[in-house]
Amino acid sequence: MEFYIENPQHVERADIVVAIPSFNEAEFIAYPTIQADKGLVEYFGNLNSVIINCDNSSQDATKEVFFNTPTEMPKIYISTPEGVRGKGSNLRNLFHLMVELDAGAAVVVDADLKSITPKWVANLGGPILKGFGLVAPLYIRHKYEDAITSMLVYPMTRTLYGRRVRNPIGGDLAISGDMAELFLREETWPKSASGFGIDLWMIAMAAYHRIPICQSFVGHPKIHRNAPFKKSEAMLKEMLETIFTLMVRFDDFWPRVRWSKPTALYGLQEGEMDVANPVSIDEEDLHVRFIRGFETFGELWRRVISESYVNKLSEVKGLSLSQFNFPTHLWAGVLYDFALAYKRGEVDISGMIDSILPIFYGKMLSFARKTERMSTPQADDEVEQNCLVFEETKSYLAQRWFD
Amino acid sequence: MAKIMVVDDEEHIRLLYSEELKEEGYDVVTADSGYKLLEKIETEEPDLVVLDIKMADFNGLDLLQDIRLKFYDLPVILSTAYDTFKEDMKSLAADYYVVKSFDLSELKNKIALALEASESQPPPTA
Repeated sequence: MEFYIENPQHVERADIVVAIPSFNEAEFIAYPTIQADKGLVEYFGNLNSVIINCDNSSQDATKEVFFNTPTEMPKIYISTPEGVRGKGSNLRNLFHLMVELDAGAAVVVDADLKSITPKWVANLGGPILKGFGLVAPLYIRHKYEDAITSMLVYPMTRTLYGRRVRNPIGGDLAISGDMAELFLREETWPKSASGFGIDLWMIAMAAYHRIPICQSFVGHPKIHRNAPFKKSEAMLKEMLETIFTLMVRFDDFWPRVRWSKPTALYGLQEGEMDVANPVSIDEEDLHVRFIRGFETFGELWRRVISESYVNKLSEVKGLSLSQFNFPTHLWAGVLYDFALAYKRGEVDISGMIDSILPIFYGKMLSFARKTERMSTPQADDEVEQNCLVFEETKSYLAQRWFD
Repeated sequence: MAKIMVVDDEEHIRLLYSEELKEEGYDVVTADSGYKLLEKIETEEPDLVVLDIKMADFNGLDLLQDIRLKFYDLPVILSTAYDTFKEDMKSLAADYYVVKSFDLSELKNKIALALEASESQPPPTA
């Protein structure tokens, strides 16, 4: 893949890099650049390091701000050609550059991060230098933050690929040089891996190739530009399609994974922990969206979802908001039916993905109501219990996948 | 039959676990320190490790992370005299944990569960 590069300090080799993917991030990129620099100086000062901005041909002054941010470590700017977008495209360039620099480790952090500290670099990069192939982040998050991960991506990823990675799409992670080469050896990347699906694809690849994955605590609440519990429908749709696409790609592996296993954990600190900012949700809005789904997508649901699950969904619809309860085995079963339909190509994919959203909102509402009086750690236990239900019902999916 | 490695710096624990697990039909090897664990784990190739948390030479929770790096799928059951270990999130890297007791029924049950789960992991890809 061709990429544009500016390497004013003529860096030819690096042991560890910090990569900052971006698109039009002139307003925000200076801060993570400074923190990355401090982290490299403080924790990896004895190694050759470089900070890399992996850009999508930003039309604002992202590159200029990046280069003008004072750092001790050298900086490189690389960019996709104009018109080529997506974080995955940025990371593909990073992988190529890692090979050129013979870099053993790369820490990847979001360009709009306001909460990153130098310790993130140590906590994410350190385990790579110990020998792990991929390090996923552990954040302090409010129980209602990132419902897409808690309700969908974490349970599905863990169930399918057998690794309990709590934040598979956290956006911040670290990979080894060997992993970069492994990714580049894949002849065909799924379309979603060019965009937000890249993180999930990397996790699946690591699990598929039995590369050691660990999780590392980065501590401070993840704060970036987007509002924390924004109903990000576009991202939800992209995640659903990515999950289903990867299921097809890796179906010589995941049906054989029966139970998930825990990963190693690093970066856990003693002493007082930060507290995540509270997040509130609009339960009535979620309820309305769920109910409306029956009007809009009822017919499609009857084509895709098994009759018993459709009937159960109708029962849930009949519950009042105060009594609302959406069992996890139903949510898992519905997702599995959608995955099967995706594989079989029985219905229009775009419409099918759209139709999952109201059901997702119903599950989200149920979780919110159940955990209303729980602390975040207690709500996390609830998420773990939900994951066990996904795993226990996986055989429903695996037995039908090759029919 | 599965081989269990019991790692504990207390001799009476090693003897108790060893005797009872052998009666269950397991092959048992022991290590009296974290150092011995690291020495023996590659040569003995256990199917499961029962790991004491508080040992004189190593913190069992730190050893657990190293085991996860080198022996990714190896089931590890933490064994401890105190259930306050749960306050250390590093313990989440274990498959199961048991509080030490003369009644080993819970340990045996967890071993059986962990071995069953382990058998269902797909083999490494080429």
